[in-house]
Amino acid sequence: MTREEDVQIAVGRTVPLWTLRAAGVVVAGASFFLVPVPYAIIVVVLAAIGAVVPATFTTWAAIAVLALAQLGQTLDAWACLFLVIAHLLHVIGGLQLALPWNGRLQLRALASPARRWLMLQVPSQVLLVLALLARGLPVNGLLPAGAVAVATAVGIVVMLVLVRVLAARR
Amino acid sequence: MRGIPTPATVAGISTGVILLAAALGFGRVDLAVTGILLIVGAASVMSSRRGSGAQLRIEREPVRRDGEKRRLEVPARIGMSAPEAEALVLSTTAPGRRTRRTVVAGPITEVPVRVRTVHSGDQDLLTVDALAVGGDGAWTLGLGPAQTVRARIDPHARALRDLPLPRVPAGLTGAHDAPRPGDGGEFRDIHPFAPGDRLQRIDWKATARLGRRPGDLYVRRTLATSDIDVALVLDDGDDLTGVLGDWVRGDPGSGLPTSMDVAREAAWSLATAYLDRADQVSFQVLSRLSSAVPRGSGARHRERLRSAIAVVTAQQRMVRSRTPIVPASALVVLLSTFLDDEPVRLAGLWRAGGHRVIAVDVLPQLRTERLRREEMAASRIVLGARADRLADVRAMGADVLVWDAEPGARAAALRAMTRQRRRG
Repeated sequence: MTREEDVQIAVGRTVPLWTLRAAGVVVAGASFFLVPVPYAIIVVVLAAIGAVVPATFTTWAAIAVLALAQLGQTLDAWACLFLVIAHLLHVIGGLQLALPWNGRLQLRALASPARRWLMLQVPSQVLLVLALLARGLPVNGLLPAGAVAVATAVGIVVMLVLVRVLAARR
Repeated sequence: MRGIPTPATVAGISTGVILLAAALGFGRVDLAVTGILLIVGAASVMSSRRGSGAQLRIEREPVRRDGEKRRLEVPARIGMSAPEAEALVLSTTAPGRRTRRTVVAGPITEVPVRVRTVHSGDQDLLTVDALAVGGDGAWTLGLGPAQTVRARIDPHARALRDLPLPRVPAGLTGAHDAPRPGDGGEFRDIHPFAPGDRLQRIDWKATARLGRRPGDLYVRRTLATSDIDVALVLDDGDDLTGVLGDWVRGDPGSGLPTSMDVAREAAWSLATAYLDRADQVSFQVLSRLSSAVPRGSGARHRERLRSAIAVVTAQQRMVRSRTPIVPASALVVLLSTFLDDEPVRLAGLWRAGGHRVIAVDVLPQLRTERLRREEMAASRIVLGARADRLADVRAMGADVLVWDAEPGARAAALRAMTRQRRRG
């Protein structure tokens, strides 16, 4: 005996909520392009565990493992992909923690996280590309690239914190 | 009330710090930028407001009926607002069903909802709960206590063309023909003029044809009209769906009409049809005779009956119940599932008192699929006893009307009852 749904909710286009968790595993799967297979498998497994049981925080462990595996690789343009993966895993991991696993997800609800992701991702990618380019310049010996990046980023953090504090007082 | 931070922020910042430390230790700019990005991303979604002043409200709109069908649609609007929330998790639970969750965009949203029901009477249609979620799941906040959409659904009145009448209409005026002479009814006979006859009633053609002596006058007599008393008696002892398996398991959320829904619909349809003909209708339920609606007619009485019928729910019947008192010479309409002997006893009492009794069988159409063998055997025994009771009721001279049947079959049964009275 089939039953028609008794409650109809009109929220436009939706996807099942489990696709968000599956997306985390798929994003982790991109680590196969960055690091050797054993590390990539560990990253995917950790992301999968994080998708099933978000409270284990293994999604962030996957980011850490991926980052440490990156140390064994030469620094090149693939680092931009690493930045994308790490940021996506962080956002998806946070949403996994707060949202239930079953139900429907309105596609419009992803617009704000996507916008903020882009607002942070684009300057970070620019910063990373500049830092990668700066490695080939003569100033490389005077100012280590890592130190430049850290100093710039600390500046960004201070700026963001100030903006948030001022916004809260308004 | 502010949102509670989730560990996502701490996890993001911690991972960022680890990456920064590795970047400084190994001189890797990519790890440094990523670490900073995670720290900034986690810190940027923390807000001092965190959903303070969050609200959840529900506005119910008028009920829509789906044509002649029993299914109803109750529209409602769920309004949610939580400052700085990026997503709102809406949890909706219909009675007897699993909770459905829908994540919608925040911070302010209004979600149109349509709840379908086949039930009438007082009911909880939907329970709504909501949770506000901050950016990247940084915090969560429950939007107050769960709210329930409640409604009192009036039973549907089906159009009835033919209505059974009592043997002798006892009223003084109304829409039905009475057996006594009077005004307003159909032609009765031609009768010699007698003192008291109005001159207007003299039939000159009949006088010319029948008069033997000068001064003989003949009048044309008509039947008087009369209203009738209808006593609706509802047996509220059971509330069962037509799915036999549910009788054992007691599944209330099967989405199928129950015997109380059928009884309310039958009672209200008959009450409306008789009231449309200006008859006197009373209503009482077996378990609560004190809540009876006395006989009456008119618009106010119609509203009184509507609310009395709409609020009837299944109740435990008392061991020693008083027999409902019905007006003299009233047509008694007994609405029951006939799953116990009490309605049969009452029908016998009323028949013995000279009342015409219509026994309305309000058990929904039966569905016997997916029954286990022992359930099948038990159902045969129960349904066999019920068939015997209905046969007893017929043997007493009462008419039996199956309400939850095809509309054509129900109309045909009512027409047959109406003609039966005319023949008698």
